[in-house]
Amino acid sequence: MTDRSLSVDGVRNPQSTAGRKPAELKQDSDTNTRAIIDELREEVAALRAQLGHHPEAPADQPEQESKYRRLVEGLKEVYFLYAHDLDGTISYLSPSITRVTGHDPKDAIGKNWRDFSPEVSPYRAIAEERIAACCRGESPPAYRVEATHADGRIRVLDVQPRPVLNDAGEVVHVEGIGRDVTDIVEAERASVAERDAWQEQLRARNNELEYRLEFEALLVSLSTSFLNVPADQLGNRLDDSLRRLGEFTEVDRCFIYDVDERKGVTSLTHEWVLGETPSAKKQMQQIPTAAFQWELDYVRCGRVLHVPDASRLSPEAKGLQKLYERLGVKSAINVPLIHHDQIIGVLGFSTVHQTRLWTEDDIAMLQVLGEMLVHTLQRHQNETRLRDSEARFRAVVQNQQELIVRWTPEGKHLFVNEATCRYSEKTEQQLLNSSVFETILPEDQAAVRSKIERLSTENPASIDTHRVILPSGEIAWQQWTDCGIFDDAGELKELQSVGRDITRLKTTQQQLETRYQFESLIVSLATRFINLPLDEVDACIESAMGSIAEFIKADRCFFFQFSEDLLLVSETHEWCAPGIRSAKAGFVDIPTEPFRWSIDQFRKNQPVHTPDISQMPPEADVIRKEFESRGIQSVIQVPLFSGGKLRAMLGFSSIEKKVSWSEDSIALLRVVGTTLLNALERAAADQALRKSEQRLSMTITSVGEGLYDWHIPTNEIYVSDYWLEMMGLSAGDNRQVVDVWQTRIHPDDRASVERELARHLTGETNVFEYEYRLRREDGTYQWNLDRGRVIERDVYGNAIRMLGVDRDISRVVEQRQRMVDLETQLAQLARVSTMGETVAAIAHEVNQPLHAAATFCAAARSALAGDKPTAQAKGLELCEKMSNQVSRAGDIIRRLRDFTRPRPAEFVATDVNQVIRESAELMNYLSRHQLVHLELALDQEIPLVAGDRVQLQQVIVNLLQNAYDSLKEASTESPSVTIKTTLVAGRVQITVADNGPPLAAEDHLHWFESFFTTKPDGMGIGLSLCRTILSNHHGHITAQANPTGGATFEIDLPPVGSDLLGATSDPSPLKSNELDDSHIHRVLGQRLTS
Amino acid sequence: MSTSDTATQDASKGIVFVVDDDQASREAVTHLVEEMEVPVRTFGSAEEFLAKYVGQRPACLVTDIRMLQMSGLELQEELASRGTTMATIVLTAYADTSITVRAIKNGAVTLLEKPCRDLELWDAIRQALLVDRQQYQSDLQRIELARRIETLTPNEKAVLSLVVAGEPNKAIATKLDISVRTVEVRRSNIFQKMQADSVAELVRLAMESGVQL
Repeated sequence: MTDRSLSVDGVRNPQSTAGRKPAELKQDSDTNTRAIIDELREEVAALRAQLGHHPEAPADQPEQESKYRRLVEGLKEVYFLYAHDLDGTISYLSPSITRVTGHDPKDAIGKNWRDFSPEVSPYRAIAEERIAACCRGESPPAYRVEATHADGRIRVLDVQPRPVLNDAGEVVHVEGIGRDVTDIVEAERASVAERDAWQEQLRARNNELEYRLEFEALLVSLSTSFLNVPADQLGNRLDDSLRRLGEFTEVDRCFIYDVDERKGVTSLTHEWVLGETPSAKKQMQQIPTAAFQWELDYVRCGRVLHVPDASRLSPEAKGLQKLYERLGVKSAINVPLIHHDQIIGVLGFSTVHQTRLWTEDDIAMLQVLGEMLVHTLQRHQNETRLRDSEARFRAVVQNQQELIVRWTPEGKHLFVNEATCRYSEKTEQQLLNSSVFETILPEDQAAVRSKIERLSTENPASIDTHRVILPSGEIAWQQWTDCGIFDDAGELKELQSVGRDITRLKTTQQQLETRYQFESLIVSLATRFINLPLDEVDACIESAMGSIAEFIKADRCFFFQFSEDLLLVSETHEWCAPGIRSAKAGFVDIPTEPFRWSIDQFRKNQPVHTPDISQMPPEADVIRKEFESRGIQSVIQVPLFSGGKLRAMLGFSSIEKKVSWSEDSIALLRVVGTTLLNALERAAADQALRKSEQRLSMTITSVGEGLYDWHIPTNEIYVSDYWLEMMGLSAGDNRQVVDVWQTRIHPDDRASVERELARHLTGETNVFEYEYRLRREDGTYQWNLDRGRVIERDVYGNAIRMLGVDRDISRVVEQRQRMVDLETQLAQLARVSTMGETVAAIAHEVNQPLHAAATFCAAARSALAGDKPTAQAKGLELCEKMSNQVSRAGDIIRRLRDFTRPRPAEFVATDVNQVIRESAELMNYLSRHQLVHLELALDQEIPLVAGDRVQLQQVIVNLLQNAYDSLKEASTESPSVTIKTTLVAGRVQITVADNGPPLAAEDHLHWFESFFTTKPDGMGIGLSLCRTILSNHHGHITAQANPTGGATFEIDLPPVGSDLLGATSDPSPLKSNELDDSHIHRVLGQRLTS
Repeated sequence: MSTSDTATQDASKGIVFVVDDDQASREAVTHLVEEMEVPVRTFGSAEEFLAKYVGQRPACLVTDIRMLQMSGLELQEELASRGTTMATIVLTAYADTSITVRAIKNGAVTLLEKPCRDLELWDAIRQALLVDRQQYQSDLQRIELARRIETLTPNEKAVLSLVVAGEPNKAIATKLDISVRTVEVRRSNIFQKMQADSVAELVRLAMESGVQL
C-alpha cells in the first residue's frame, strides 16, 4: 500500500474490513493530497483572477488549457481537472483525461459525467451525495468514482470537487481535480485477500490443534477408563469407547475385529454404528482371514491401511473391496492391533455417507489408540488364561486318581503315589518292598514281561491292559501307560507308569457285548417267524427255544400255555439239551392249583427267578419239590401277556449250575417269550381266518351275489361262480383278467363307469357304487349295480386290491322306469288340476289385456271413421296401444304353457331365488285378490342348485296356492305369506310360512300323501308331488304347524356340485311327517289303476 | 290416476265413470268414450270412486267385477244402499251364472264379457247414457213432486191419501171426523200446492212422486 494514495473518507472497501487500521494510512495520504489540491486551487484561483473570465466562457479555452496542461503535466500521477454544471454536464475536462480514461475531452464536454461511469458501483451513492453537497455550496471531502475507460475497463478515480460561485454567491458550477487510483485500489484488494487467506490458514491450524487436543483428551480419558477394568466389563467398556470415538471422529461405523491367524479366522467383536447405518456384526463372524490376506500383510508391520476413497482402493485389496461394496463404505481407516509382531485385531472407522480424509496426525493418534487397545485386550486375555489354567490345575490335583508307579524292569517298586497305596490297600513301604508282578494274574504275566522287552529308546512308551488280583481276592482289570527310562547305553533302567482301574469299563463292555449278541439272536429269531407257513410254526418255536437256552446256558427250555380261566396249564413246547429228560408228556391240561404261588407271581408280571431252588420260599414248597424231583438247580420263568391277560410262561432251567440272570437278560427273555407267543397267536388267528375265509367263500358262492376281487396291478380278477353264471359263462373258471368285466360294459355307459371308477381308485369317493349295463354272453344286457371298495392301497395311496359285488338289478330298473313314467303323468295331472282350480283367475289375467286391446280397437275404428284432421294420428296411437296389449296377453299365455306342458325334467344349475320370484309372479293375481301380503326374504348369496326350473316352480306355486287357500278359508286378518331362502349347513333352505289357521295335529302326518286333501275341491296331489319332485332333486320337504297358527313348509336342496351319492347315503333323519317313497308309490299305483 | 274430466262441457250428455284396476283397460275405455265426445272419469278402485262421486247425473258406470279390494258387484250394492241409481255396465273376464244373476239383480244395464266384441262396449255405453238420461228426467220430476207433497200439512196429507184412494168428500169427512166443508177447503189447498187441475192429475202426480202417503 502506497503512502501517497488518495484516500477517500467514508468510502468503504467491502473487501478490506477486519484486522486493519485504515485511520493511520489515510491520514498520510490525506495530508499529501490536500496539499497538492490546495496548491492547485490557489493556482486556478490566481489564473481565474488574472483572466477575469467566467469559467463557462469557452472563447479562450485553448489558452486556459495550455495553462492547466502545464499544471498537470509535471505531476507524476495522472491528474486531470474538470468542471461540470449542477446537473453533471461536463463543461471542461483537461486533456490529461485521455491518459486516464482514454477519452478525448472534446467528445466528453457537453455530456453528463454519469455517462462515463457504471451505474452499479460501490462508490456511486457517496459520490452523488458529495456532489449534491458541493452543489449546495459546501466543500465536501474527496470521493471515489468508477469510470469506464475507452477500452471498456473500469478505472477507479479519486475526485476532489469544489463549488464555483457567481457574484451573487450562488453555486453555478462544480469544478475539481481527479486522479486515477485504480492501481492503488487493486493493490489494496490483493493485500486484503492475502491477509484473509493467512487468517483462514491460521484458523484452520487452530482448529486442527484444537481437534488434536480434544482427540488426545479423549484418548487419555479412554485409556484411563481401561485401567483396572474388570474382565466382565471390558466388553461394555469397549463398546462405549467405540461410541465415543465414533461420535468424536464423526464416522458412521467404528469397529474392532478379532483376528486369529492361527485358526485363520476373523470376527467382528465390537461395533458401533451411527443411527440407521446397518450393523455388519452378524455377517462378519468367523470369516476366513485368507479373504483379507493382502490387507493383513499390508498392516502386519504396523502400517495403517487408510482408504480415503473406497472407489479407488488398491486392486489387490480384494477382500476389502467386496466388503466395502456390500456395506456401502465410502472411506475407511484400519489400524492393526499388533502384539508381539502378531496381528491380534484391527480397529477401524468407516464412513458410508461421504468420504473422509484422515490426517497424519489422526493416523498417529489412532495408532496410539490401537496400542492402548492391544494392551488392554492382551491384559484381559492373559487374565482369563491364567484363571483358566489355575482352575484346570486345581481340578487335576484334586481329582488325582491315577496310579503312578516307578519300577525296575525286574518288577521292584521304586516309587508309588498315594493313589496306588489307596488302591492296593497297602502302605507305601509295603509296596516298595513288593514286586510289581506279585499282583498280576499269572495268565497275564508273560504279556507284561514281553511288553517291557519291546520297549526301546525309539519306542519308549506303550499301553497295555492286564488283570490283577485285588486284596479282596477279586480280579480287576488295569490299564497301564509305561514309559521306559534308558541309560546312555540304551539299557532300560526303570519304568515310569501311570495306570488306572478299568474293571467297570471292561465289565460294562462285556455286558454290552452279551446283550448285543442276545439282541441279534432275538432279531434273527423274530425274523424266522415272518411269513412262516402255519405247519412249521411249532418246529420253529422249539428250535428258537433251543438257540436261546444254549445262549443263556440252560439245559431245558419250556413253554407253558394257560387256559382262559388260568385253571389249567399245558406244556406246548419244549427243548431239552442232549441227555436231559423231557417232561412235556406229563403236562397236558393239568390243574394250576398246586402252582398257586408261581401263578400269583406271574399275574403281577413278576418273573420267577430262582438261581438256587433251595432258596425258594416255603409257600412254593410244591413247586420246589417238583423241580427237585427232576434235579433242577436253578430256574427262570417269565410270564407272557397278550391283550392284557396272562397267556403263557417261558421258562429255562439248569440241572448243572446255579445260574443267575441279570435284569437285562430277564427283560430280553420277556421279549423272546412275547415273540414266541405272538407267533403262536398269529398262527392261531391265521388258522381261524383261513377257516372263516373258507366259510365266507362258501357263503358267497351259495348266495346269488356276483362277487369280484380285483388285483389292480396285475389286472387279475377273481369272480365268483355266480358272477360267471350271471354273465352266462361256465362256472369254475374263477380266475380271469379284468377284461372279462370291462369289455362287457355297455358302450354308452363305459365312459361314465370309468370316470366314477377313477374317482374311487384315486380315493375321491369312499365307495364305488354305480349302475350300468353289462352284456351277457347271449348278447342281452342286464342292468348291473356295482358296489365295490378298494381294500388295499400301497404306501403311495395307489389302489392295489378292490372287492365288490355285481348285482343284476334289471327288474328294479324297469320298475323304477315305470314309476318315473307314472310320476310324470301324475305331475302333468297335478299341473292340470292346479290350472283347473285357478282357471277363472288366469282367464281374468289373460282377458284383461285382450279386453283393453279390443276397446282400443273400437276407439280406433271410431277415430278413423271420423273426419277430424287428427284422426290418423289418433288411430296410429291407438293401434300401438292395442298391439302392446296383445303382446301382454301372449306373454301370459306363454308362461302358462310352460307351466302346463308335459316335459321331461332338465337338471341344470338353477337359481332358486329366480324360481321363487317367477312363481310369486305367477301367483300374483291370487295374492292381489286375497289381499295377501307376500314377503320375499331371499338370501342373494345362496348357491345355485341342480334342478329343473319348472318342477321347482311347481313346488313353490303349490305351496303358495296351499297357503293362500288356507288363508282364504279362515279369512285371516292381515294374511301374509313369507318365502325365505337361506344357506343352512351347506344346503339351500327354502321356507314358506303363512299365518293361517292352526292345523289339525293329525292332518299334517298325511299332508304329503297323494290324494289327501282338506280342501273341498282339491285333488290332493299337490304336496305329494312336491315331495316326489324334491326327492328327485335330492332334497327334502317337511312341514310343521307354527305356534301362532299357520304352517311352515321347509325345503332343503343340495347346491350344485355337492356329492349327491354322499347326500343320499347319509340322509338326514326322517322327520315325523316324512313318509317313505314306496308308500306314496303304492298309493299312487292303486289310485291310478283303479 | 288419469282423469279426463270434461263433465262441464255438456251436462245433458251425461258423464261416464270407469272403475277398473287394470290400467290398460281404463285407458282404452277412456279413449273410446272420448271418441263419443262424452266426458269420462276413471278410477282405479271402487273405494276411490265412492270417495269422489258427488252425485253427477246423468251418468254411466263402467266397472269390472274382479278388482283389488271391493268388487264391482259390491260397488253396485254399496251405491244402491246409498240411494244412488245410475246406469251400470258390468264387465267380467270370466262370467258364470251366479255372477251374472247377481249383477243384473243389482240393476246393471248390461253385463259384458271381456274382451268385448266389436262395438259392444260402445253401444252399451250409448245405451246406458240414454237410459240414464231418461231415468234422470223421471228422477228429477219425482223429486219435484215429492217436494210439493212435502209442502202439504199433515191434515192435507191425510186428505190427499184418501183422495188418491178414491174416497168421495163425504166419506173423507166421516173417516177423518171433520166437516165436509173442511175437507173441501183442504182439497182446494192440495190442488193448488200440487199444481193439479183435476183429481185424475192429482192422483197421477201423487203416484209418480213415489211418496208413501
